[in-house]
Amino acid sequence: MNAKTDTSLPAIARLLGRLDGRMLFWLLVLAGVLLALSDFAYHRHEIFDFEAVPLFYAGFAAASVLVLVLAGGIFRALFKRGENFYAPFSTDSEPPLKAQERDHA
Amino acid sequence: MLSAILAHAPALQTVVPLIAAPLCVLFGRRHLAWAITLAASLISALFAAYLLAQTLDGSVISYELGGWAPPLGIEYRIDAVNAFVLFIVASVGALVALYARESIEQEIDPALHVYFYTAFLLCLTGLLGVTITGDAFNVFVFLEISSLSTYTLVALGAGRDQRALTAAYNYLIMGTIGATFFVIGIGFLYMLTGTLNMADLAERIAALGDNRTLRIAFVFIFVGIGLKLAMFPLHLWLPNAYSYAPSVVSVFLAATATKVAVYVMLRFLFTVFGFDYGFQAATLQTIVVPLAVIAMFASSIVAIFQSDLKRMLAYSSVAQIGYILLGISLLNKPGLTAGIIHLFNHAVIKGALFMAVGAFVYRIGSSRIEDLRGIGKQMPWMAAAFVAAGLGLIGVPLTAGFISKWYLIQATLDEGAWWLALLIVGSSLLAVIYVWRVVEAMYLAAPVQDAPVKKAPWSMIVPTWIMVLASLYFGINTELTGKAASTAADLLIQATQIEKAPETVPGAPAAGE
Amino acid sequence: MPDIFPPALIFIAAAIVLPVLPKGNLRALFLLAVPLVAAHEIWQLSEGVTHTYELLGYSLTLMRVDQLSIVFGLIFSFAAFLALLYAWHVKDTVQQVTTLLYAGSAIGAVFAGDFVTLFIFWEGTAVASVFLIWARGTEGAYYTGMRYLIIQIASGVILVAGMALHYHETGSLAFGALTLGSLGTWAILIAFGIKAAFPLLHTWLPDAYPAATPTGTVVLSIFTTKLAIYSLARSFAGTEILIYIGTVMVFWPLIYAAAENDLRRVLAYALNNQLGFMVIAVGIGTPLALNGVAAHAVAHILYKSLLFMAMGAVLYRTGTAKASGLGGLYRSMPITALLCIVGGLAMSTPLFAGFVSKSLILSSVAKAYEPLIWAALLFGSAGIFYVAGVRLPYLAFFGEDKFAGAPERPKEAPWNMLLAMGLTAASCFALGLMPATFMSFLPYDVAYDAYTPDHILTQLQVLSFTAIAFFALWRFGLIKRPAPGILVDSDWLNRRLALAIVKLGAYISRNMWGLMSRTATRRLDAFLASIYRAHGPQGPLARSWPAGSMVLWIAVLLGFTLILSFSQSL
Repeated sequence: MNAKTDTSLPAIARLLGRLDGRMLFWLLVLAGVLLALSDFAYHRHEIFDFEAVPLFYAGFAAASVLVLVLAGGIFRALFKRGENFYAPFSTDSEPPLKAQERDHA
Repeated sequence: MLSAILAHAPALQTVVPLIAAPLCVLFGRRHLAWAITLAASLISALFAAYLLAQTLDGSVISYELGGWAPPLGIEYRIDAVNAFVLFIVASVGALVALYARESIEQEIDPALHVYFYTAFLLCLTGLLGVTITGDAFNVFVFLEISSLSTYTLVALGAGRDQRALTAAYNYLIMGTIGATFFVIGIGFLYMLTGTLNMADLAERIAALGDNRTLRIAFVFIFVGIGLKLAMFPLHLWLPNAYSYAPSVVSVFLAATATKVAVYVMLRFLFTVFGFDYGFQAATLQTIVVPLAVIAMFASSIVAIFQSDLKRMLAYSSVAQIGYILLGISLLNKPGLTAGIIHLFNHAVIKGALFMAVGAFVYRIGSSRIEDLRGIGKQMPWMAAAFVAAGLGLIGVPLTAGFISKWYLIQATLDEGAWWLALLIVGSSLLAVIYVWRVVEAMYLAAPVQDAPVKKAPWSMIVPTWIMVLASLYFGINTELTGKAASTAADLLIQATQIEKAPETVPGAPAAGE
Repeated sequence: MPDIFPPALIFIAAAIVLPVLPKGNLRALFLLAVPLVAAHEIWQLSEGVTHTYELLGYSLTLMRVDQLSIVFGLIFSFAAFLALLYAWHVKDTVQQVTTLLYAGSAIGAVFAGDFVTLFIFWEGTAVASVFLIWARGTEGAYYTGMRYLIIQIASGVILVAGMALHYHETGSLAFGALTLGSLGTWAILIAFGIKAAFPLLHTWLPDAYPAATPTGTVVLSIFTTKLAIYSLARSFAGTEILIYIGTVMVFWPLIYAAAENDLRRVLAYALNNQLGFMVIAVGIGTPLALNGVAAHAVAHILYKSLLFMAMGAVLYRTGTAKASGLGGLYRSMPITALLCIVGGLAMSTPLFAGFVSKSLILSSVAKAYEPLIWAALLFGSAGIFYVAGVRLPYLAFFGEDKFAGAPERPKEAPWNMLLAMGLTAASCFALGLMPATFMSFLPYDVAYDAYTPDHILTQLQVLSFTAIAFFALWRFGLIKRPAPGILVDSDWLNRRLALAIVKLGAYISRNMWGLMSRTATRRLDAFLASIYRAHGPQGPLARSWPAGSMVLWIAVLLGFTLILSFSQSL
């Protein structure tokens, strides 16, 4: 069932459900592009030389995420183990708390 | 009247329990025997407190037994060193006497109670006598009195566990060898100097200078006493003796017997032999320091793996003796002070711990850690006492154990041996583990059975908590212990010509003020 | 002003009184009042030494008040208030008491004027906080708590050792600036470093925080690490090595945070990364940088609490905080979702506290002219926003609806959690809106304006392109919802390798010892056995061979001592 029509959900949730993810993404891209283009219109006071490169911040941020995602993927490939790796009953492997237990916690 | 009695306080110190001992047998009634024991031990505790107060300023009391002047007659010689030990022994003795009545109900056949009290009083006499006397051969005599009665006391544990007999037998062999070595050493000294009075011995030895006979005498006395004080690896008799003896005997032995042996070691090393010769320092630094460090670690690790609480505490005692010996063999004033303070603090702490264990044995008939699960809720007073004293054993700040370790670490740093300081801290972490195991069982594990365990009787709770509160009190107020120990250390150092350590211990709290 | 009651003791006194009060609203109100009273007291403090006491002949300083300690004292009290409001529904006395003791110890440590007092409160935070992990009540939480406790206690022990060495060297116990060099100061640095989660000393943090109760993790996230940052700022400001340590802290945990499945562990790693920012600034050590440390500690406590609160609410309502079991949760917990997004934005978006404090730190590094460190921080800023501001809310609240087929949808978080989150978000916002007021609390009087067009534009570029990169990579399938499983960190070294080495060592020494003692005792046994045969029945005596080995030891020791004493020249 669609979130915006499911009346069992809270009103705010239905409101959020109305938002179009794809449109939001393109709005974000538009805002990003405008911000990036401001590099050419506005002269910053750089401290380091490399800051002056146009699109430095935008590119650095995007590259950072890419690096991080790749590094994370490599780490996951290398270091991922089962949830019982250290002990048969670790907090990672325990079943979800039951409702009444949760109310005590 | 009072002053006339007090003038003979040194003699009465040993005579009161000595006379009380046969009285117990003569009357033959166990409740009466208990009353006599309690009265005698309280009186000698009062005398000990009086003697300590007299000598705390560094003065020396010399008492000629029977009016025979030394060196021919036997002299009782009390200074801050042995007054402090007397005080420890006698006050622990009084608390133990109070505690004993209920405790032995469960563990010793009622028909044997009278003999228990007799042996206990004789043991007390022996320990007090060893401490108070100024005569080397007299030390041996009293040592034998205390040892023989201790063998009996340990063997009385056979009512609960037959292995007490083997333990007592082993202890007898070991103790006898130790005493024999000791008397051989005394023999050599006598051969060399023709005297047995300690003060006199010291003078003549100094006059004679270094020689082979002296060295042999030293080695025999050193090993003999090393056995008595359970110096690693001569401690093998101790775990069995402490674990199979009746609980109350474990309390008494753990708190006093090894401490008295340490005192004898101090007295001979410093006062009699006078520490003028390289071979003594070499012995201490080449043999005792490594052995003490090994004891601190090896015994603590062994303690971690014990399943029986008494046995665990026994091994912990061997480790703690390591700290005391380490302090002494640093051969400086802070080290001696630390050793003597730990002598006292460990007596109080270990006494409290064994008392708590005795109460567990009294109620649930076992001292196995797995049988103590959930005891924290069932016997809250005793469990809390165990935890409080256990913190002291670890050396948590604001407990007596911390004071000991603080002094000890200061002393090692004074010698520039920071690695020793690190080892002390490291071995304390081991104590955390073995104490924690018990705390975990007592408080966090589910109880063994649902059957309610009754609280310990008040006559056990009160002495235990007196010990626990003492261990906390002496962790906060170090005036008495600090002063007594530093006065004692001063006296011992003065008796020798080892290089004077800096007079003030940096950071020694309140010492000598 | 001696009539001020030390704020730490307010908490401790309240913790003693609390168990007597009846459970329910009265007790909850009392709990909320405690940190407010303490904050009020701290507000009124004037600078200087206000309380001293005697211990073991040392005169010690219970209360040393300056602007640095006031900032930390205030934020600790206020954050304790928010966390207690968040935990309004918790009826467990143990958690309530230990929360108070924990907060009280942390505040006591902040005002401590000497190392002894610091140590007492330092261990107080260790012992009190572990109960928040144990309160989870599961076997895994118990062992995690033990590991946590051992490391925390060890930190205190190392602190005491360092303190003793330092005292021995300098004769001073004052908790003030130190210069690295001696063994003592290194030990103190390591003690601080354990609590500040330095690289390789950090594993307790991602291990323990996700194991605590939903409310407990919020409390944990506030105090211990920031206390360590405070201590570093107090004692090691301007110590160069901290810059490099901090840089590693920016990178390493971030990669784990980017790969981790348990979202509360993601936050723990993110927290570790943010500690790196503060450690770098402490290493820079200029007044501007130290202002940055204090400001960032304040902002970071607030927004990280908010994020932990949101994830705690998710755990509380759904029973899990793992990305593999979550998704589409905005449908049932929309307010929590929005507040979580606000928490993510509060980390570095203009108008929020995190923007101001992060700009301060970045500027201080730029002013010190450290281009590589500065670039690392920029990477950290982008990375933290990706990890905790975009990836985390997306995984929890958006994407595939994991609760579509469930018989009952999870409920929205209870009112007190929402209120606590709302207040936290509002405070982030308020501090970001009033930078001048925020700055006036900081320890040094340095003029600084975060809201320059440069800062705002560059920061918005970083944030927008981080978000764009995330969504683009998600669409291309390069970022996926993680599968269940844990990531092994350097804790493998102590939980697996060290354990294996100890086991191997124990095995070898057991066998070696067995071999040695068998050989020795076999000879001895043969000797003794011949005696026993000659002397009668074997039964009881045969068992007494240990006596023989004792005698052997005596002989060995006697011989050795004799040789030694004879080897000395006469």
